[in-house]
Amino acid sequence: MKGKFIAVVVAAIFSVVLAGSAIAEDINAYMGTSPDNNAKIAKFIKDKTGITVNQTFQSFGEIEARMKAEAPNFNADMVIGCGSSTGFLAKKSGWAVPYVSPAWKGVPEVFLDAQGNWYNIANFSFVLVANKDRLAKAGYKMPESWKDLTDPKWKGEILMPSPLSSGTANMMRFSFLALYGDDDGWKFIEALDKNIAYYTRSGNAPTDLVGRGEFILGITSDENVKKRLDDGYPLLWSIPKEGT
Amino acid sequence: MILKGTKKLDACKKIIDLLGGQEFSDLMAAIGYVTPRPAPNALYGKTLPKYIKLDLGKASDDKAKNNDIWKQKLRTDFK
Repeated sequence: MKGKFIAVVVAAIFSVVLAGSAIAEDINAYMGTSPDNNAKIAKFIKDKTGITVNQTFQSFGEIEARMKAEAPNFNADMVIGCGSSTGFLAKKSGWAVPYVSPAWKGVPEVFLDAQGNWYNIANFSFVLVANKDRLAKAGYKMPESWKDLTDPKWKGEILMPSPLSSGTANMMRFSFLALYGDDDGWKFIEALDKNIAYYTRSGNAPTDLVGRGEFILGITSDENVKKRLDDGYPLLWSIPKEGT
Repeated sequence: MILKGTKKLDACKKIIDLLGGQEFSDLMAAIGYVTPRPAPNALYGKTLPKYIKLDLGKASDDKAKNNDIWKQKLRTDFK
C-alpha cells in the first residue's frame, strides 16, 4: 500500500514537472514603450499566457537601427512596441513573419496590416508639456500654437527628442513637415531649433526633465504624461491648436 | 511583429492573439494610449486628440532623406 502511495506521489510530481516545462516558455523581444509600460505589458503577457518576455528597452529609433544592423538574423523573436515606420520597413524588407490573427477580427484596419506583418497595439501622440511652477514664475502662459515655440523668450527652455535616435521625434518632424509643407516646415524646425536647449535620445525624456523643473517646456510623447501626473509632477499638458 | 528566424513561433502567435483582445486595450487605455479596441482613455477622456493628417508610409520612406537634411541644417548631438 505504502509503495503504491509513493508511486502515485512520484507520478504526480513528475506530471507537475512536465506540465511546468510545457508552459515555461520565454521569448526575447525588443520593446520600445517606456520602461514602466514595457514592464506592465510583459507582466500582462506572463499572467495571461505563462510566457516570459525577456525584454530589451530601446527607443523606437534605436530598435529600427538595430533591426537594420541585424537583418536577417535577428537577436529577438518579436518587436513589441515600435514606431509605425519600423512596421512599414519590416514589411517592405521581408523581416516579419506574417500571421493573420483571428483575435484581431473587428479591429479598425488602421491598427493592423492586412497580411499580418504588423499590429498596432496602441497609438501614442506627441504633446506639449510645461512645468507649472516654472511657467508661473516666468509669468508665461502655455503656448497655444506650435509656432509660439519659436518666440525668442523660450530660448534654452524647450526640450524635444532627436529624430536621429527617436522614432517619436521622427513622427514629430514628419508631422511639422506635413502641417506646414516641406519649405515652411523646415523653416519652422530651424526656428524652433534656436530655442531647443538640447535634443534627448528618447521620445519620453522631456516629460521627466520638464516635470523635474529643469526646463519649462517639452515636446514629448504622451505615453508617460498620465503616469507622471499621477506621480505628482507639476506638469501641464496640451495639444496646440494645429493638432498632433 | 514576429521576426523572421524565430524558433518560438507558437509563443509569438499566442502573444499577438492576446494583444488583440479587449483586456489588453483596457490596460493600455488606462495608461493613456489610444487603443485598437474602444476603451476609456485615462489621459484624453472621451475626446481624442485632433490629428494632423499623415501618410505613414511616406513618413517611413522619407526618414533617411529627412535625417540627411537634419544633419545639414541642425545640431546632431543628443543626450
